[in-house]
Amino acid sequence: MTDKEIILKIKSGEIDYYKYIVDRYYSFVYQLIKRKVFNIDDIDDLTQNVFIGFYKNINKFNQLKPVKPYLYQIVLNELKMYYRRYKKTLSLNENIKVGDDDFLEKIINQESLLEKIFLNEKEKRIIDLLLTGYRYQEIGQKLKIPLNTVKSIIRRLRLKIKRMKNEKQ
Amino acid sequence: MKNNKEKILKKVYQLETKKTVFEIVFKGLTFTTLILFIYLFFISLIEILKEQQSFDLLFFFRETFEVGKKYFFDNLLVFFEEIPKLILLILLVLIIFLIRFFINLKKNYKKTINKLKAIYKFFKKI
Repeated sequence: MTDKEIILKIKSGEIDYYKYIVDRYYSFVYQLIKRKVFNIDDIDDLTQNVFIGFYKNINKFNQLKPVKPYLYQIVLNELKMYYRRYKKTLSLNENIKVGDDDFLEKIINQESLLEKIFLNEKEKRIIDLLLTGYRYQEIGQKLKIPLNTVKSIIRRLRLKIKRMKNEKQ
Repeated sequence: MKNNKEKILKKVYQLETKKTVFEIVFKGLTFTTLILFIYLFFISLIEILKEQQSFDLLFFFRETFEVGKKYFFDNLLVFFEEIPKLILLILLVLIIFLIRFFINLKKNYKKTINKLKAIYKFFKKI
Protein backbone atom coordinates (compact mmCIF):
# COMPACT_ATOMS: atom_id res chain seq x y z
CA MET A 1 0.00 0.00 0.00
CA THR A 2 1.43 3.41 -0.94
CA ASP A 3 1.61 6.42 1.35
CA LYS A 4 -0.96 8.20 -0.78
CA GLU A 5 -3.49 5.40 -0.35
CA ILE A 6 -2.86 5.24 3.39
CA ILE A 7 -3.28 8.99 3.80
CA LEU A 8 -6.50 8.92 1.80
CA LYS A 9 -7.83 6.12 3.98
CA ILE A 10 -6.97 8.05 7.14
CA LYS A 11 -8.60 11.17 5.74
CA SER A 12 -11.77 9.19 5.10
CA GLY A 13 -11.90 8.24 8.78
CA GLU A 14 -10.18 4.85 8.78
CA ILE A 15 -7.70 5.88 11.44
CA ASP A 16 -6.46 2.33 12.01
CA TYR A 17 -4.35 2.83 8.88
CA TYR A 18 -2.20 5.31 10.79
CA LYS A 19 -0.45 2.25 12.21
CA TYR A 20 1.20 1.75 8.80
CA ILE A 21 2.54 5.31 8.80
CA VAL A 22 3.96 4.82 12.29
CA ASP A 23 5.51 1.48 11.33
CA ARG A 24 7.00 2.86 8.15
CA TYR A 25 8.55 6.04 9.51
CA TYR A 26 9.17 5.31 13.15
CA SER A 27 12.84 4.38 12.82
CA PHE A 28 13.48 7.35 10.49
CA VAL A 29 12.05 9.81 13.03
CA TYR A 30 13.66 8.04 15.95
CA GLN A 31 17.14 8.04 14.42
CA LEU A 32 16.79 11.68 13.43
CA ILE A 33 15.97 12.70 17.00
CA LYS A 34 18.58 10.37 18.47
CA ARG A 35 21.30 12.29 16.66
CA LYS A 36 20.47 15.46 18.59
CA VAL A 37 18.97 14.29 21.89
CA PHE A 38 20.72 11.85 24.19
CA ASN A 39 18.13 11.12 26.82
CA ILE A 40 16.15 8.00 25.88
CA ASP A 41 12.94 9.20 27.55
CA ASP A 42 13.14 12.52 25.74
CA ILE A 43 13.72 10.74 22.42
CA ASP A 44 10.61 8.65 23.00
CA ASP A 45 8.57 11.70 23.99
CA LEU A 46 9.71 13.70 20.99
CA THR A 47 8.98 10.79 18.64
CA GLN A 48 5.48 10.59 20.08
CA ASN A 49 5.01 14.34 19.64
CA VAL A 50 6.13 14.15 16.01
CA PHE A 51 3.64 11.44 15.10
CA ILE A 52 0.81 13.04 17.04
CA GLY A 53 1.60 16.38 15.40
CA PHE A 54 1.52 14.74 12.00
CA TYR A 55 -1.80 13.09 12.77
CA LYS A 56 -3.32 16.37 13.93
CA ASN A 57 -2.43 18.00 10.62
CA ILE A 58 -3.13 15.06 8.37
CA ASN A 59 -6.27 16.65 6.94
CA LYS A 60 -4.22 19.62 5.73
CA PHE A 61 -1.51 17.35 4.32
CA ASN A 62 -1.46 16.96 0.57
CA GLN A 63 -1.31 13.23 -0.12
CA LEU A 64 0.42 13.85 -3.46
CA LYS A 65 3.48 15.11 -1.62
CA PRO A 66 5.96 12.76 0.09
CA VAL A 67 5.58 12.15 3.82
CA LYS A 68 9.27 12.09 4.75
CA PRO A 69 10.09 15.81 4.24
CA TYR A 70 6.95 16.77 6.12
CA LEU A 71 7.92 14.55 9.05
CA TYR A 72 11.46 15.89 8.87
CA GLN A 73 10.12 19.44 9.26
CA ILE A 74 7.99 18.41 12.22
CA VAL A 75 11.07 16.80 13.81
CA LEU A 76 13.04 20.03 13.34
CA ASN A 77 10.29 22.07 14.94
CA GLU A 78 10.00 19.65 17.84
CA LEU A 79 13.76 19.79 18.38
CA LYS A 80 13.68 23.58 18.33
CA MET A 81 10.94 23.57 20.95
CA TYR A 82 12.83 20.99 22.98
CA TYR A 83 15.98 23.10 23.05
CA ARG A 84 14.03 26.22 23.86
CA ARG A 85 12.41 24.42 26.78
CA TYR A 86 15.71 23.28 28.22
CA LYS A 87 17.70 26.42 27.50
CA LYS A 88 19.48 27.66 30.58
CA THR A 89 17.73 30.73 31.90
CA LEU A 90 18.40 33.14 34.70
CA SER A 91 15.59 32.74 37.15
CA LEU A 92 13.65 35.81 38.10
CA ASN A 93 12.52 35.00 41.56
CA GLU A 94 10.38 37.81 42.83
CA ASN A 95 11.23 36.98 46.42
CA ILE A 96 14.85 38.02 45.93
CA LYS A 97 15.46 41.12 47.99
CA VAL A 98 18.36 43.41 47.36
CA GLY A 99 19.68 42.71 50.82
CA ASP A 100 19.77 39.00 50.10
CA ASP A 101 21.04 39.36 46.61
CA ASP A 102 24.71 39.77 47.42
CA PHE A 103 25.82 39.85 43.85
CA LEU A 104 23.46 42.62 42.81
CA GLU A 105 24.09 44.61 46.00
CA LYS A 106 27.87 44.42 45.67
CA ILE A 107 27.82 45.37 42.04
CA ILE A 108 25.33 48.16 42.46
CA ASN A 109 27.42 49.60 45.26
CA GLN A 110 30.42 49.77 42.96
CA GLU A 111 29.50 53.16 41.60
CA SER A 112 32.47 53.20 39.26
CA LEU A 113 31.14 50.15 37.49
CA LEU A 114 27.60 51.44 37.49
CA GLU A 115 28.67 54.69 35.88
CA LYS A 116 30.23 52.84 32.99
CA ILE A 117 26.99 51.09 32.19
CA PHE A 118 24.66 53.14 30.11
CA LEU A 119 21.35 53.31 31.96
CA ASN A 120 18.20 54.95 30.75
CA GLU A 121 15.82 56.87 33.00
CA LYS A 122 13.58 53.94 33.71
CA GLU A 123 16.48 51.67 34.60
CA LYS A 124 17.96 54.32 36.89
CA ARG A 125 14.65 54.70 38.66
CA ILE A 126 14.28 50.96 39.11
CA ILE A 127 17.80 50.71 40.55
CA ASP A 128 17.05 53.53 42.98
CA LEU A 129 13.85 51.90 44.14
CA LEU A 130 15.56 48.54 44.40
CA LEU A 131 18.27 50.06 46.60
CA THR A 132 15.67 51.64 48.86
CA GLY A 133 14.29 48.18 49.49
CA TYR A 134 11.22 48.04 47.27
CA ARG A 135 10.02 44.70 45.98
CA TYR A 136 9.53 44.00 42.27
CA GLN A 137 5.75 44.22 42.54
CA GLU A 138 5.92 47.51 44.43
CA ILE A 139 8.31 48.94 41.84
CA GLY A 140 5.87 47.93 39.13
CA GLN A 141 3.00 49.61 40.92
CA LYS A 142 5.03 52.74 41.60
CA LEU A 143 6.25 53.14 38.03
CA LYS A 144 2.97 51.88 36.57
CA ILE A 145 4.62 49.12 34.58
CA PRO A 146 3.79 45.42 34.58
CA LEU A 147 5.62 43.11 36.96
CA ASN A 148 7.10 41.10 34.11
CA THR A 149 8.58 44.26 32.58
CA VAL A 150 10.25 45.06 35.91
CA LYS A 151 11.60 41.53 36.05
CA SER A 152 12.95 41.65 32.53
CA ILE A 153 14.55 45.09 33.01
CA ILE A 154 16.27 43.84 36.17
CA ARG A 155 17.35 40.71 34.39
CA ARG A 156 18.84 42.78 31.58
CA LEU A 157 20.64 44.93 34.14
CA ARG A 158 22.06 41.90 35.87
CA LEU A 159 23.34 40.59 32.57
CA LYS A 160 24.83 43.97 31.68
CA ILE A 161 26.62 44.17 35.02
CA LYS A 162 27.83 40.60 34.77
CA ARG A 163 29.19 41.24 31.29
CA MET A 164 30.94 44.41 32.48
CA LYS A 165 32.42 42.55 35.40
CA ASN A 166 33.73 39.78 33.16
CA GLU A 167 35.26 42.32 30.81
CA LYS A 168 36.96 44.03 33.73
CA GLN A 169 38.44 40.76 34.91
CA MET B 1 10.33 0.58 20.41
CA LYS B 2 7.17 -1.48 20.08
CA ASN B 3 5.94 -0.07 23.34
CA ASN B 4 6.45 3.49 22.12
CA LYS B 5 4.62 2.75 18.86
CA GLU B 6 1.68 1.46 20.89
CA LYS B 7 1.78 4.58 23.02
CA ILE B 8 1.65 6.75 19.91
CA LEU B 9 -1.34 4.85 18.56
CA LYS B 10 -3.09 4.96 21.91
CA LYS B 11 -2.62 8.73 22.09
CA VAL B 12 -3.86 9.13 18.51
CA TYR B 13 -6.98 7.11 19.33
CA GLN B 14 -7.59 9.05 22.53
CA LEU B 15 -7.26 12.30 20.62
CA GLU B 16 -9.60 11.10 17.90
CA THR B 17 -12.12 9.79 20.43
CA LYS B 18 -12.25 13.17 22.14
CA LYS B 19 -12.59 14.96 18.82
CA THR B 20 -15.31 12.63 17.52
CA VAL B 21 -17.33 12.70 20.73
CA PHE B 22 -17.14 16.49 20.82
CA GLU B 23 -18.18 16.64 17.16
CA ILE B 24 -21.17 14.35 17.72
CA VAL B 25 -22.33 16.23 20.82
CA PHE B 26 -21.86 19.58 19.08
CA LYS B 27 -23.79 18.43 16.02
CA GLY B 28 -26.55 16.98 18.16
CA LEU B 29 -26.90 20.21 20.09
CA THR B 30 -26.86 22.30 16.90
CA PHE B 31 -29.54 20.11 15.35
CA THR B 32 -31.75 20.25 18.45
CA THR B 33 -31.37 24.02 18.74
CA LEU B 34 -32.15 24.59 15.07
CA ILE B 35 -35.22 22.37 15.17
CA LEU B 36 -36.42 24.05 18.37
CA PHE B 37 -36.04 27.54 16.98
CA ILE B 38 -37.63 26.62 13.64
CA TYR B 39 -40.58 25.10 15.53
CA LEU B 40 -40.95 28.18 17.75
CA PHE B 41 -40.79 30.66 14.90
CA PHE B 42 -43.11 28.56 12.75
CA ILE B 43 -45.68 28.29 15.54
CA SER B 44 -45.53 32.03 16.25
CA LEU B 45 -45.87 32.79 12.51
CA ILE B 46 -48.95 30.57 12.25
CA GLU B 47 -50.43 32.13 15.39
CA ILE B 48 -49.95 35.65 14.05
CA LEU B 49 -51.52 34.69 10.72
CA LYS B 50 -54.44 33.05 12.52
CA GLU B 51 -54.92 36.14 14.65
CA GLN B 52 -54.89 38.38 11.59
CA GLN B 53 -57.27 35.94 9.85
CA SER B 54 -54.94 35.99 6.89
CA PHE B 55 -55.74 32.36 6.05
CA ASP B 56 -59.21 33.49 4.93
CA LEU B 57 -57.50 34.88 1.85
CA LEU B 58 -56.42 31.38 0.89
CA PHE B 59 -59.77 29.71 1.75
CA PHE B 60 -61.33 32.07 -0.73
CA PHE B 61 -60.06 29.75 -3.51
CA ARG B 62 -62.33 26.94 -2.36
CA GLU B 63 -65.49 28.74 -3.46
CA THR B 64 -65.59 28.77 -7.23
CA PHE B 65 -62.73 28.03 -9.51
CA GLU B 66 -63.44 30.94 -11.85
CA VAL B 67 -63.56 33.56 -9.10
CA GLY B 68 -60.49 32.05 -7.47
CA LYS B 69 -58.59 32.14 -10.71
CA LYS B 70 -59.55 35.76 -11.29
CA TYR B 71 -58.35 37.04 -7.91
CA PHE B 72 -55.54 34.50 -7.39
CA PHE B 73 -52.56 36.87 -7.68
CA ASP B 74 -54.28 39.74 -5.85
CA ASN B 75 -55.05 37.50 -2.90
CA LEU B 76 -51.62 35.97 -2.88
CA LEU B 77 -50.08 39.44 -2.86
CA VAL B 78 -52.25 40.57 0.03
CA PHE B 79 -51.44 37.35 1.90
CA PHE B 80 -47.69 37.91 1.56
CA GLU B 81 -48.06 41.51 2.63
CA GLU B 82 -49.77 40.38 5.81
CA ILE B 83 -47.04 37.90 6.76
CA PRO B 84 -44.69 39.31 9.45
CA LYS B 85 -41.54 39.80 7.40
CA LEU B 86 -38.95 39.59 10.18
CA ILE B 87 -40.19 36.27 11.49
CA LEU B 88 -40.38 34.89 7.98
CA LEU B 89 -36.82 36.02 7.29
CA ILE B 90 -35.49 34.44 10.49
CA LEU B 91 -37.38 31.26 9.67
CA LEU B 92 -35.89 31.15 6.18
CA VAL B 93 -32.38 31.71 7.51
CA LEU B 94 -32.84 28.94 10.05
CA ILE B 95 -34.12 26.59 7.38
CA ILE B 96 -31.11 27.41 5.20
CA PHE B 97 -28.83 26.61 8.15
CA LEU B 98 -30.66 23.35 8.68
CA ILE B 99 -30.24 22.40 5.01
CA ARG B 100 -26.53 23.26 5.15
CA PHE B 101 -26.24 21.25 8.33
CA PHE B 102 -27.78 18.22 6.64
CA ILE B 103 -25.51 18.59 3.60
CA ASN B 104 -22.45 18.68 5.88
CA LEU B 105 -23.78 15.76 7.88
CA LYS B 106 -24.24 13.73 4.71
CA LYS B 107 -20.76 14.66 3.52
CA ASN B 108 -19.09 13.61 6.77
CA TYR B 109 -21.38 10.73 7.62
CA LYS B 110 -19.15 7.99 6.19
CA LYS B 111 -16.04 9.51 7.74
CA THR B 112 -17.62 9.66 11.20
CA ILE B 113 -18.92 6.09 10.93
CA ASN B 114 -15.47 4.87 9.86
CA LYS B 115 -13.87 6.72 12.75
CA LEU B 116 -16.34 5.27 15.25
CA LYS B 117 -15.76 1.77 13.89
CA ALA B 118 -11.98 2.18 14.15
CA ILE B 119 -12.21 3.58 17.68
CA TYR B 120 -14.54 0.77 18.74
CA LYS B 121 -12.20 -1.85 17.26
CA PHE B 122 -9.17 -0.35 18.98
CA PHE B 123 -10.67 -0.06 22.44
CA LYS B 124 -12.28 -3.48 22.18
CA LYS B 125 -8.83 -4.94 21.48
CA ILE B 126 -7.47 -3.31 24.65
